Amino acid sequence: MHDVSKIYVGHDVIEANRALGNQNRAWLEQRGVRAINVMGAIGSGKTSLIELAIEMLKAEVGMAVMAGDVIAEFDSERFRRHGVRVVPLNTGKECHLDAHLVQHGLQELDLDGVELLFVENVGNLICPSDFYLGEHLRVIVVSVTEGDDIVAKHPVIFKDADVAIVNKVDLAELVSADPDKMVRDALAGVPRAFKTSVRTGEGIQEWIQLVRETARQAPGPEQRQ
Amino acid sequence: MHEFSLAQSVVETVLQVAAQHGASAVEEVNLEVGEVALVNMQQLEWHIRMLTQDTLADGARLSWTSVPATILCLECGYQGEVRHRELDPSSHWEMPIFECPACESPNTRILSGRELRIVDIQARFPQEREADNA
Repeated sequence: MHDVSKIYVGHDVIEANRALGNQNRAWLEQRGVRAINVMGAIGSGKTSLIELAIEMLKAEVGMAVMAGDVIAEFDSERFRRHGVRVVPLNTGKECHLDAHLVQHGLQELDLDGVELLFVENVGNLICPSDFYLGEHLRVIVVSVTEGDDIVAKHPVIFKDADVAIVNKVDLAELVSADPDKMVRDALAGVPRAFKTSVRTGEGIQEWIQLVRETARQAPGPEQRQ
Repeated sequence: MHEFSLAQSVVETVLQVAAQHGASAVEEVNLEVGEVALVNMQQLEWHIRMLTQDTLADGARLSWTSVPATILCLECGYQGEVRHRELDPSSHWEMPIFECPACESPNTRILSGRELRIVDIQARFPQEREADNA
């Protein structure tokens, strides 16, 4: 004979991650650091955009990078060449970063002199969406080579982002993609979206200005819920 | 494959709660899953089943209810469920439209629908402990 009864649990796994994310945010703010979570599709140009920002801003803003990837060493090496501190976050089988992994990364990272931390997420438009990391700005990067319906297919991750970047617009004609459609689709979810090309420099000033503004953002709780 | 790490979190919590209450087995786990939490329930169920093998929760039934996505419109104040785009019936989910259904503004905030909550578990207790748990 056994007694069977119900035990109330009431534990939200997504919410638990959010609580850890808030701890990360507080940790960063105590050290005067702002963070940008750069999410986006595989090969959309996340690493190149971050490299460019580091190169153009390193004289005025102290920066560091957390490079999340299934094998993080490749991108980490690219960032180190620009003279910034890098913590590789190897996710192995996982397709996203979570607040817990970032918390471990933060413990390894010397933030002395750092004002802005880039957290490059794993290339993926689905999994990272549910995981707030403690960032001050959430950027989502897609490129025209993924097809111009890529934004419309992934409404949730765009709803979660602050800014969308449509990258590699110099290739739009070659791949028969309409980058303006992508920007319009993105604006159904994000308040701000713009086009860039690392090769031609289109839109890069807007990206750099966004990074600069984020580094100077006032501390405070997350605005987006 | 983020269902695997979500399943790990669910199983960890379930086993912890069951052990804290002195349960001998977990028979059922009840979840609430937000419709815009990007969780594939078939995958989640499979991972939970794998991860609970040879534990207190081995063979436990998993049941869940879906929590609809609701939004608050920051322009007109609409508060309620989102609309959905009609997709081919073979799609696994109805695609949410986050623009306000009343005024079409994209300036909306998600109020609910992101949850992956373990509501409760149905646990079995050894008879001698019945009094403790009554």
